[in-house]
Amino acid sequence: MTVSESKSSYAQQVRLSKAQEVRLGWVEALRARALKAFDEKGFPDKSWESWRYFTPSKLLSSAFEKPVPAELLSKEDPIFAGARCRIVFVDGLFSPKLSSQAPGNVDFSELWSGLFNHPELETRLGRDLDKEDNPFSLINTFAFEDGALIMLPSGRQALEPLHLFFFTTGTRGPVASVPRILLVAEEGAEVAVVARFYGGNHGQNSFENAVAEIYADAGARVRWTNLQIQENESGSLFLQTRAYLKEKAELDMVTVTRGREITRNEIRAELEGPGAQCRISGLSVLSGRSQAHQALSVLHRSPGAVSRQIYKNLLDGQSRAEFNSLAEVCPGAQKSDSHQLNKNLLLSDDARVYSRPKLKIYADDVQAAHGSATGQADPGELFYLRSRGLDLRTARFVLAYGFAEEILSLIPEKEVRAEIEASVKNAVHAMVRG
Amino acid sequence: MNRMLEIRGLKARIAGNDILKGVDLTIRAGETHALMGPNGSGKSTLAKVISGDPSVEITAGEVNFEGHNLLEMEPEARALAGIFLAFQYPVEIPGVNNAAFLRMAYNAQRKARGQEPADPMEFDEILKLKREAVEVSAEFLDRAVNHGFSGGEKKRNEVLQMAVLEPKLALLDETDSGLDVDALRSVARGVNRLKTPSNARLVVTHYQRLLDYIVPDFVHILADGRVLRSGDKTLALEVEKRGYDWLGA
Repeated sequence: MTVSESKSSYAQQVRLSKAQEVRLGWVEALRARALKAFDEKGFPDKSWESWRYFTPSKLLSSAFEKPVPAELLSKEDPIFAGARCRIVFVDGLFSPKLSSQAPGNVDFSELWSGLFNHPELETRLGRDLDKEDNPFSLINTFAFEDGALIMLPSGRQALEPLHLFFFTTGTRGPVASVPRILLVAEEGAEVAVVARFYGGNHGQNSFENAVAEIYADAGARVRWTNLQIQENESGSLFLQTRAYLKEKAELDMVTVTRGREITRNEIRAELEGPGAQCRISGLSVLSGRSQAHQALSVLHRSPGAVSRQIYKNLLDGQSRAEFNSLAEVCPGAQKSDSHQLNKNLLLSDDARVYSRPKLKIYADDVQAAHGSATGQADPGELFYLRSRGLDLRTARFVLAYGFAEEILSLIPEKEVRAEIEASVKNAVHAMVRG
Repeated sequence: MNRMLEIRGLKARIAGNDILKGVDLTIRAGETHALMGPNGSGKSTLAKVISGDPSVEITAGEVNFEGHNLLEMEPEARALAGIFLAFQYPVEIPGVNNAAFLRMAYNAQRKARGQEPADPMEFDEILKLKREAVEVSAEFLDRAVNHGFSGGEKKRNEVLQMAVLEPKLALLDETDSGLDVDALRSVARGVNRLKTPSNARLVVTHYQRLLDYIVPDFVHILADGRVLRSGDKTLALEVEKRGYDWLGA
């Protein structure tokens, strides 16, 4: 047993909970490599650059239940109303009962059956394992139970958005789940994905450690919305996203975070092909002692690629938010165009923000801008609204919600946007005080 | 005629600097007053005091509006009592739809009068009439409040808000700045259409130009925090010709 293992109850638990049956030889080989890499790496401490403001020590020593198949909801639950094509997971396990049929023209399936049907995925699943520097991502690779596969052959357009639901029950105590998502959009394919990580009022102290790998081949377009909503300030979610964009591929990703004790989104987007475009944005609405950490890196590996990052945080109570973002322009990636922007609105004196936009540029003909702004509600703006007859509380609400709405307006699906707007409105109403 | 606004011996400061040093002014229903004066004379500060801008500190004097002590009222209470300030620099509020914002303000007023709020359909009808009265295009409504608006568009949007809220006393703070002649005329027409015998206007301006279109009953010259001279519209023409120095400003 290595040092890192003996220190971590979590790593042992997810390892033991892993299904014992041998499934696919190449997957088992991948898992063995991931385990070895993890054993060498161990868990992060404050000396790790991207873990300076949050180290998961408490999480790692917690006790978790092994996930067992559970039914939380019925198929008719209103939460599924707008989600005709969906795959549902409860405590990280695939729920055939709550999931629906695939839309027909797209391979949208539970991950294991997908991996059996598509041996060519050996070149995609965990492709960059050797470069992987996040131990939680490695853990997911060696321990993932269930997951979702989204595959679109060349030129195929998904007719409607594909929905992924990850529910946490926590009915028998805290659960550790390790779901995996693999999306492959071949040349010119188009798809919209909505991934919901919903704790509801459940899931106390559970820990979801998810990985999403996104392959957008030449000219493919992927729109992706992450909704990370929990009604209380309990539980943790780590989502590691790895995106690989070929020539002129486009990725638009919006992540909305509300509730939970800890949410950590780590996105690494590799712009591998010329003219690839990646727009990632996020909104966190945090109160109490909630924390949301964004660890983002966009790598311009080819010329003429475009990247945009806009992240906003609305903070109340003693909440914490981190924007730790790197835009890196590799040698030869001329005409790269990169923007990073982080804006934070503090509604309390005790909330904290750590904003660290960073640039590394190894090419000489590039456009790169970054900015960060943190402040409280502007007195001039409040006066403007009050001079129109709005009371102070309403004026605060209007400013805070308007701040959030800029990100919400980027969510492409109208119904999803309306759903999350209502949720954020409720949260902001509770946050503003007269 | 009854006195709508009465200001007596008003002294005020911003960030520790004395700006208003004893201002007296009376405005009655139906009247249009122009407030002119050199830069830094305190024109905008006076408009801010009346509307309740918390950045201004009142050190002496009184301001009464229809018998109420205005200085004891919150900005929103003043707005609901019928005071409206068209800002010199309207604030951009990204993420807040202009039409939705107008409806919020309109309904805040209805609520204060004990009336039911207007639903979106009902309000659309009201808004259409108001918008046409002040010559503002429908495209304004779908945008975020003042966000990305040009200087001129912002001023028009202020006048649209004024049309919707139908104030008893409108304070127009340099509404002419940033407008070309055509826009100026159009905005002035809008303001004039909103004029009734029961409302009043205080037009703060640096130049006489605006007063060709919004004709004042009274002109006041403010200099160094005091009303130096009051007169009729010919005073503005005199200032245009001879500058403020002639007044000893």
